[in-house]
Amino acid sequence: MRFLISAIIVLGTTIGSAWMASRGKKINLQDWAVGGRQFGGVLYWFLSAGDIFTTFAFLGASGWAYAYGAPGFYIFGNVALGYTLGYWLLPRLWEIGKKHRLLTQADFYNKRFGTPWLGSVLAVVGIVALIPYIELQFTGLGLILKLTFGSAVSTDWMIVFAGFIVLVFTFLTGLKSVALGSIVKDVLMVAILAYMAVMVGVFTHDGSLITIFHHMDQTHPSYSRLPGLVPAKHYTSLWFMSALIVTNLGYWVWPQTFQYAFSARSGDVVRRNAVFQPLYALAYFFTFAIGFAALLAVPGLSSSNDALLALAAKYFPGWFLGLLAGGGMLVAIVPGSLLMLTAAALFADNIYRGLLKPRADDQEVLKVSRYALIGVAAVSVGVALSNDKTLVSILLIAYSMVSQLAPSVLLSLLWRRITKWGVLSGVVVGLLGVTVPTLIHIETLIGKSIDTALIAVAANFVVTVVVSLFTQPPSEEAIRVGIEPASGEMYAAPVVAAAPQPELHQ
Amino acid sequence: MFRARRHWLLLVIPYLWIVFAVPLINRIHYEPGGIPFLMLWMGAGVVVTSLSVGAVFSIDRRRKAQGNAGSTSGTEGGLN
Repeated sequence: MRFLISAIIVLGTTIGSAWMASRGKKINLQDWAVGGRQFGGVLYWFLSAGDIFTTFAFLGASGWAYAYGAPGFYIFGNVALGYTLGYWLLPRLWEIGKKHRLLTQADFYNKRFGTPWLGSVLAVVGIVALIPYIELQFTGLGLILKLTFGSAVSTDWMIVFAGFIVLVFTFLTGLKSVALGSIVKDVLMVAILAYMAVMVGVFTHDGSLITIFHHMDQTHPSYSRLPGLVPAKHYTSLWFMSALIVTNLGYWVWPQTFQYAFSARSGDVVRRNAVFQPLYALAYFFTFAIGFAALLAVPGLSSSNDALLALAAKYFPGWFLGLLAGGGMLVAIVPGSLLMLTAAALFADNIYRGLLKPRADDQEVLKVSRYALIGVAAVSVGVALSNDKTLVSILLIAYSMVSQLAPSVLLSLLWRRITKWGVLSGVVVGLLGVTVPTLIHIETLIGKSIDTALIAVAANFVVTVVVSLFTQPPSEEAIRVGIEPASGEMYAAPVVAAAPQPELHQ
Repeated sequence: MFRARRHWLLLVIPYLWIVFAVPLINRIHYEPGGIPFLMLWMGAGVVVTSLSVGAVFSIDRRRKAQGNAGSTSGTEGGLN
């Protein structure tokens, strides 16, 4: 019964979205990679939500509440501050993408620094960093299925099946299916979380939502304020603030954010979305409440990420677990598809066309993108199944490398003098700053309460600036890619002094 | 130029609310309805952000509409 419900949700959503996206249309490369730059407010909102609300946003938030209490509240601020910065940044990216017909983040680096190799190098980094992120989605999916179905299904086979579903979902139609699938995924997940938060007191006989907080106060008095339930972790106010700033700086540097920024119909779609997207974060009220309820009802779990699922499996009815499993699979499949599509487009556009066959036309790049999608899916599923520790640690290095793109993304829109050598040396120094302290345990010297990533980003920033000042700046044409209004939307770029100009409608 | 953008200072509000107020808020022991004050504060920060960005967006749009109505000169001629 519960298996049937979840299968109907997953197959109905993925096949339905792919069918709707393909109706009466011949898909070209622009459609596939950036939705033909045609998404209006609703689709764009859901596509962005698809990237924010991943498996670990929803299992992780309740897990933080379960394990640490108050420190987890910083998650509320991530999205809000991301879109405060995004109000300035995303319309700029959208304009640049539209004007230069960009498909990927690497395309942006190529144009901005007037060099074909920088984009290809960063495309390799992007792909390698995306793989562990995709793999995380599959691991989360395995977790959801294990806890909702028990040993009735083989997790490994379900991960293979999910990899296959992603292909069905995105192979033909690309980004539009992801956006359509996101609508089902997010509506369903918010409904599931709300139902869980409201009903959890009833099912665990713990009274109402409010009595859960009262019981927490009695049994875990330190949970409500920093440093939370585990003071030894040093999750102080200072940590809280630096974590928010680090995530804010790194918020828009993942390759997929460029791609979905390019998918909007107009600059105002992107701006209006920055107004309404943060409100989605209010759903974290439910996840935190569920995390606290889990601490009261199912204490002592070995992994805090299991908190929400263990609570559901123990106290909620079978039909609900079916919905939760279906919704949870979509939470893994939809963001996973967006990430895979990004990796495939980076490969086809910036490695295949960028390095191997510069004269390939769009039709050929689309074909290569689709084959690359199969490759990315196979590799991610393989990594998720193998659990190879060395492999995973290599991938995690690439993962932290991506957050080191923050100074170059921001500076390339603000500072004329930044150069490709500055970008490259900043990234290398930032990467060493992230990995070396954890290897030699220097972080105890710096003080545990400041995120080491913040120090690494600061070092990266300084090196980027200094090396840029000593190297040859890009051509005037390349500089103008980042630092001039692209389509005359004057108010999108605070650094540009230009007369007010009307937006072009085309 | 800078005068035209002064309303962008509203975008500082979310940072003040969500990041820089935290050490102060963390000292408050008042818990309305038993819910942790920091949790309510951070949740309210989401709404405050939406309102701040919304205010900037609506001012920007109004400015742009005025700019469009008023500009008959040739400044936009070179755009096509």
